[in-house]
Amino acid sequence: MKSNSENIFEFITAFVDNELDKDKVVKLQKEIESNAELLNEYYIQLQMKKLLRERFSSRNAPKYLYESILNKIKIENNLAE
Amino acid sequence: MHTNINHKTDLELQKKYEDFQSEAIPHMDALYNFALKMTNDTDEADDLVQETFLRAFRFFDKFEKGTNAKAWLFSIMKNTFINEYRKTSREPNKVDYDDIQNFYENIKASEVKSQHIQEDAFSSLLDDEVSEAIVKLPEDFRTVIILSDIEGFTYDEIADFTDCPVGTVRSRLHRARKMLYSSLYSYGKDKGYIKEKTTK
Repeated sequence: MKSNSENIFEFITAFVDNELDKDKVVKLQKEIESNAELLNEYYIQLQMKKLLRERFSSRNAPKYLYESILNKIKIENNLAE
Repeated sequence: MHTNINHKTDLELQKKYEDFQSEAIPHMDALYNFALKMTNDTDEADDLVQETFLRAFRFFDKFEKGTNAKAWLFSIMKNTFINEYRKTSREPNKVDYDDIQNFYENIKASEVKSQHIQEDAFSSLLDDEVSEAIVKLPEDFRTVIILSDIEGFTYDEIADFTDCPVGTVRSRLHRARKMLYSSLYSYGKDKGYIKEKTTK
């Protein structure tokens, strides 16, 4: 079973991801603001989420891959060109 | 008249193909992104995406129209990755979680804090350097961080296609970000991107 301190750190992750109930958000926000260790944890979680979202969220599949997959499906299923 | 193993008529097959094009194919970018981050290799990502879509078409009759096609495709990709890709592919050097955890815990609070004030602490890292750190995360952790932070899935959705409770998703995500932070922090310091502050 997890200790409360482990749980609170994981709830910070859920807080960053907007995955907490409203009442828990208000309570946790106050705790984060008044505790340096929790604030650090919050910044780490937020910084990593932001870094990944900004760097990698919009890479498109190459056109040749679309064509290749659709062609293979057609061939495997004897579909007309 | 053509028939396939499911004895579908040409017209039925054509309809299946058209439905597949409108329901499944639009999610190829998201799946490609995921495959690229899981493998860190464009050829392997191509193979993984291709195998996923070929399988998806074979099982498309079982897909319930109007439900979450993206989540359905991700489940197929995850299983493809586990069953096919991982068997034949060389596993990258994984970061040992305990080492990372120890490293993280040894970072002094003041040191960590000083980096937070510098919001652009990781901005000097190249995309490839960040990708390399992601691919070195243990697979379960890599999966959740990609699905959450790159693909934007909710905890419920991630829980659905990783077959684990929401609490496990939250826990893995929490640890994955800490592992990634520690790894990038260590790398950035070695490269001189991150300057250590001397504490008085």
